[in-house]
Amino acid sequence: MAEAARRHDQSMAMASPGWSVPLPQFCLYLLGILAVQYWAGTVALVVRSPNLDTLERALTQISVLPVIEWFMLFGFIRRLPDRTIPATLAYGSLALVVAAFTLINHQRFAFLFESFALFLLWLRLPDLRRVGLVLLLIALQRGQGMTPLHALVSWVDTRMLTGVMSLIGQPVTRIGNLVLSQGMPDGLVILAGCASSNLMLPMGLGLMILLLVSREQLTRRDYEWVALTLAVAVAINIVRLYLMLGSHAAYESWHEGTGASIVSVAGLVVTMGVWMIATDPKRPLSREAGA
Amino acid sequence: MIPRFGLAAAAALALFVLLGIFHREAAAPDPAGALIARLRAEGHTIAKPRKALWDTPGFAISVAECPAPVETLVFDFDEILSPGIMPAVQAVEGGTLQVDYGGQRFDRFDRAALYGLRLRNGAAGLLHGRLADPPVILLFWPAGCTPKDVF
Repeated sequence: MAEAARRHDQSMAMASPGWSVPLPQFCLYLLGILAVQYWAGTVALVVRSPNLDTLERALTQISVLPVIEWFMLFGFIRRLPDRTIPATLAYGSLALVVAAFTLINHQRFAFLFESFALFLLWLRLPDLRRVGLVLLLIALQRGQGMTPLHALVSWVDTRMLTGVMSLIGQPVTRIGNLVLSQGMPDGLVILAGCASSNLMLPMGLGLMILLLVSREQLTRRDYEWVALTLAVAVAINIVRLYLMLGSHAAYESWHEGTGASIVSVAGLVVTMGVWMIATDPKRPLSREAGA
Repeated sequence: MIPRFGLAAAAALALFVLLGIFHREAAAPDPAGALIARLRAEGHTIAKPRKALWDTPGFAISVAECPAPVETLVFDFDEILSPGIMPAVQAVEGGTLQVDYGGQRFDRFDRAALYGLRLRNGAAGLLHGRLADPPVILLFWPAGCTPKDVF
């Protein structure tokens, strides 16, 4: 298997210069277009803000984690070997991106489709496989088309929340996703937008992306770090939901006010912190290699 | 000298920017507002809902032969599909449920049928450049009247 991959690499490297494209150059230009496509919506939102309030709201929607991920991905492609790839693959990938952003009107779905198609297209190429995987994870991180997952997780969250409250002796009643407590006698319903998966996706996939661009090979320990981060994401969200049940004012704050911002920052700090600990050169590496 | 692939990528980028400049997405529609306006134009009497439900848009509509107004909730598809939402809504509202989604009516909450409709709408929307997702409208008919076509 490894021998076949090496032969494939050698054949790529020996491709005729007229019919090949240098790998770092290909990645730089193609990822440049994809980065513009990824951020275009955010830029348009900021540029078209009619007043300062709208601008402030638009700016608070920008997450820091994807900025770091894109920055690190560009750093990663600079470290790619000086090989060439066949021109058909390079121009075919570019044509796929152009066709997707032209034909699919909604650019978030276009980006998701392109990332998935490029991931499949590059799956057999050792150097591009990881770039494709990182792109796909960046696209999935936005949670586009993940409604069924969020809906299911919100159902689990409600049960976890009422279970935890019962364990600590808090009086609580649950009807479906409706939680009735002393602080919120009208009840709080856990909708898809409040599901833990909205925090698990950016944190878990974000950590995976950071590890993929900073490691030669993922180890079993890395997957354990990702699992731990996902568990912390669930815990953060359950605590947030519990605090939302305190009163109507608490609900407002933890739903979309200062509390919601605190949760976002906590998610970023945990993800970056775990990544720093996991990639600390002083820590011994697990020998069991994964992807 | 700019490499050949770089020129092709620059052309693709220029196309993306041009498409973006000439493309203007319509403002997000207010499905509840549009529905209320249409019902008023058809001569229905619209009132405030009996109780506001978790910031979900809703209203009450007077229907002939019904002793009380029909409570109507306009849900995002994203919000309603969790397995625990409908029991919660029904516990609060009561009455006989009627579901309207994209012009199709159901006399029960059929999750699979709603997903099927949404997939078809989504696929058509992607190709036609319009991803407008119709809301899921829930009508709660009070005791003593039979659900019928309102919209």
